[in-house]
Amino acid sequence: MVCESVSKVYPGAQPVVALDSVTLSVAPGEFLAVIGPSGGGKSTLLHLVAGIDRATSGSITVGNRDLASLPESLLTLYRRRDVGVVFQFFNLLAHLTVRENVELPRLLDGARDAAERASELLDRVDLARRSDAHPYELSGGEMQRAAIARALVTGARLLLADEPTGNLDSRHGEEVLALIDEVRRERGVTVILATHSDSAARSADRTVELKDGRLRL
Amino acid sequence: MKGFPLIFRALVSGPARRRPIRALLPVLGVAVGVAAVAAIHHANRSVTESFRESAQAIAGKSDLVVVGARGVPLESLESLSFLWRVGSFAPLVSGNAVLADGSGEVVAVLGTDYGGDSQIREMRLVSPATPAGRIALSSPGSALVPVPFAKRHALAIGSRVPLVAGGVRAELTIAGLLELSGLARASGGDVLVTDVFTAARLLGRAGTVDRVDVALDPGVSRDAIREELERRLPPGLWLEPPGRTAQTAGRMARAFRFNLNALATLTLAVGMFLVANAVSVSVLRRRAEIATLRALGTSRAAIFGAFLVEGFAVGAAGTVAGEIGGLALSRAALSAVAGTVSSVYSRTAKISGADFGPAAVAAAAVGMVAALLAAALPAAEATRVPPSPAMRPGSADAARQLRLPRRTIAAGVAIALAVVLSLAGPINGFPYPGFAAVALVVTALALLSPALVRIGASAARRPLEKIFGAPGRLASRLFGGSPARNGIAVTALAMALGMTFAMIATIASMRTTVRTWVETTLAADLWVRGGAGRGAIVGDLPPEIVGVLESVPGVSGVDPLRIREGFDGAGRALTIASSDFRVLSRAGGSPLLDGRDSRRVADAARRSGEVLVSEPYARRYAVGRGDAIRLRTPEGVRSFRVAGVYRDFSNDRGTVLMDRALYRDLFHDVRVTSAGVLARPGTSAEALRRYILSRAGDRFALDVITTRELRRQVLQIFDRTFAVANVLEAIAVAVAVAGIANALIASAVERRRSFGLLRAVGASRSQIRGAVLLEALLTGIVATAAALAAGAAFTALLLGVINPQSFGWSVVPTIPVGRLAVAAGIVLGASLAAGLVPGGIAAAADPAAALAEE
Repeated sequence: MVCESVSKVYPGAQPVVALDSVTLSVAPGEFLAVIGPSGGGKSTLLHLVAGIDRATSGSITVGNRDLASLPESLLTLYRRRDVGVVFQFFNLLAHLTVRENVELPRLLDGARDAAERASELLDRVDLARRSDAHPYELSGGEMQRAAIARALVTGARLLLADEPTGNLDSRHGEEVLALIDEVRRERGVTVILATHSDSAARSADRTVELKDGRLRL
Repeated sequence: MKGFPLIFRALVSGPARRRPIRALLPVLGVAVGVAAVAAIHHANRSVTESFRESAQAIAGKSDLVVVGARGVPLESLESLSFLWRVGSFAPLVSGNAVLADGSGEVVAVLGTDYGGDSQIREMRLVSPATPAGRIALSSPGSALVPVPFAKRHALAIGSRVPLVAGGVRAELTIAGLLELSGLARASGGDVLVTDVFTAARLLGRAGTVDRVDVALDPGVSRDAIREELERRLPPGLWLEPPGRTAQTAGRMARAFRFNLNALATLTLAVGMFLVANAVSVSVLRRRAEIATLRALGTSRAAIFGAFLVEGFAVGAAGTVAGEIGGLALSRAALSAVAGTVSSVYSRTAKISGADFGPAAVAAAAVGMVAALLAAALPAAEATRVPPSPAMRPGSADAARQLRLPRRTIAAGVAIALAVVLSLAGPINGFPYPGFAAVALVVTALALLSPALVRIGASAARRPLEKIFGAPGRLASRLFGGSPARNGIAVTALAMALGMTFAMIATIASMRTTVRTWVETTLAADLWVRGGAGRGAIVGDLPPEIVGVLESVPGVSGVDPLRIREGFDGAGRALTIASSDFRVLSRAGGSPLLDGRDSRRVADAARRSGEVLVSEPYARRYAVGRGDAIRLRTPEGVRSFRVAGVYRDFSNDRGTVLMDRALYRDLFHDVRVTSAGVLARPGTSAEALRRYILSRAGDRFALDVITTRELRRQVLQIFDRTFAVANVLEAIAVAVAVAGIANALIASAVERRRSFGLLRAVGASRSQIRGAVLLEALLTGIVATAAALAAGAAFTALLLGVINPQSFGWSVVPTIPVGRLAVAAGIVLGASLAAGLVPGGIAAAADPAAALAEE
């Protein structure tokens, strides 16, 4: 993943520069932690890399794809197949069971092995017994584990985690970080973790800091 | 679409299962709209079908019909005798009679030639079966009746039927019973079939028949015979295709039917707003889920599809419920529409219920399309939910870009277009541009409503805070904080209420105008008509009645009115009326549009042989004072100069009024439809009425009423005509108020966390409940204010464009302030009540749960 001079400006009466000429590259299989205070631009960076928002200027290349040049339809496919995202607020769909939440991205791609892959991942994140529960019946840690399973179900090679422990107590937070590191090693995925917690960043291979939209290596 | 069932469950069916009551309201909205459309469509179709069936029963297998300006004289039948070589022909005399058996029922009397008729019109005799019995059929004074009619009136062969026709009492003897088919189906089966001479005598038409139907043998060239006939027919007679009568009958009430359909569609439009509201709320509430799904790679099409399927499901459920309701409502609608049609358009129209199937199909199609259209806009909006910012907590309504300046400009364009369309004339006789202008006003309302919400909230903030303190301030913030959602509720209510205001103002204006017209037009003190008691008025009066009335002491004048169908030079049907202009020049008549004295104009017209035309005629055919018009008369087509245009609400196809002497000379018709009697000063109308009945009641079957009673009857017919409109309006407003409740409940649920936080910082339950109630009231107030503006525009379009173009009637606007205030008060009260449930939900918000979420 390579970012070159990426900027993001939110327009308005007083435009907000969320990212200011950020240049960054992440090697395959690397675990990068992006730290920094709230409002520093961490989430914005992850959203741009995840293809759920577009940069104002600069380029982001994932594999051999320049995200800026992808039309909406291909960007949708990119999100569906190539990148998995774990959010601070889990963003599980309340009206679907845990299993259905995990199956969904795979089903969207028309894969027939969605149920199989979901079972495997739920087993991996130790939620097999809770697979028929709804998200609101789970604890915070369980919800985030389900979200990790969902992020990995498509076989994405890039996992983005946006403050995945921000809404968890320290014990559950540590469990989640350990799980992310484990699956990275097992599956060889690249991980970019956005966090404001130094302790969370310690499990990463490399750490960069984003402050006021600028990168500090 | 891959994974679509899960997407649908995540966004639509899951939430609906958890809150089924909320899902019911838009279903109810569509159901009410579909029920109204189905019922009105069914009633209208019943009218058209009944006219068509009756005309078809009379036309039978005829290929051509010979008609005349004053019927077809019997002696002219000789000129048709050549037809026996190529086919057959049969004369028909038709008219109405009232059964004098106490039922007061109006029946059609059809005089036919039993011999020639069998080739043209189907008649199946059930009894008598014997040849001897059949001979009695053609004996004078005999009649055949359909079996169901005989059963209903307990008639058998040999029974005598007392009736009143042509202003005199008569009796017919039942000589045979007919199967309910062919000719017996005319007028819905309420028919007495006699021989030509019996009917002609009974109806006072000695020497003429109404029409002659011609059926040609197979292989005979219709065009050749038509040419031959046109050569041979004497002046004053002409040919018509057999379907012409049905067309004419069907067209009579079409503007009335069209307007009813438009009203039913309005009810559906309110339902559409509820669907749009429900789907829009659904989209707003599911923003985070939509964003998550988008972040997971769900396509825009899948999101759009999920919400469109929601619209489809709402439409389908509403349509099913609406069809059931429509079936129940159709009986009431049919009765009301049939009542109006028979009192305004055709007294003999027997409107029987048509098959409900086509109405059900049409209403289902309209309901489904409406629901899908209503869902499409918010569904499209759902696809624009960006995956990123929407996932942040608290982004729901605030994130919505309202683009107020763009909406305001678009609203201005819509209003400008509406003004342009209001200046356009009708298309093919229908006020399509006028209705399009109404639709544009509704569009402008919808576009402006979020801005109105903001303005309303801003304007109400200080007064509400001053009166109610913190809840008042909170209410204005709550209301103004959700301009998109509250805008939809405001639009739905303002549209329904605006239309209601417009209908109230229109009906009041028309009623006032009609009352004024009746008061100035009905200058006579008494009205004498042929009748049989119980208010059943039918047929003409014999000419002798004029002399009899003139000889009554206390009578200063008699105006013998003659009203009948006629044709202009192009063969278009119109009403020809004649009146004694000498009486008009003394007593006055209908006011003239240009304000001239009707007495002077009548006197001048009598001297110069000019005619007056009614306002609907003048509008329909674009003629005015000084123009020449052409009428078909027994002497051929004649031209007349128009002396003036008078106000007339008696029919909408147009009337040409001429002096009785001129009419009599041209049409050789001396009969009288009704007679206006002027009393000498000091003579009481009631005493005169009693005297006339005692003096002429033996010879004639008369219905004599005072002008006051006649005015009351006219206004009763008016009120009955608009009863359907009132019911439809009430339904539309009720549905719209329910829409406010729906919007507020959704809003309260969505903002439960905010309410919980308010509770956590010290707000009491009653303060929160009060704030939501005030928000509901504010919604009602802003909607009422918008409705007043929209209602004024609707009223202007109804009175200034749609009404004159549909019916040709110009109406003096009246603003019924009291009725409008009552309607507004009811709606404001209902709006406040609509806040009770959401107020309860908001007040019950749990502060601990809200803090936990935080």
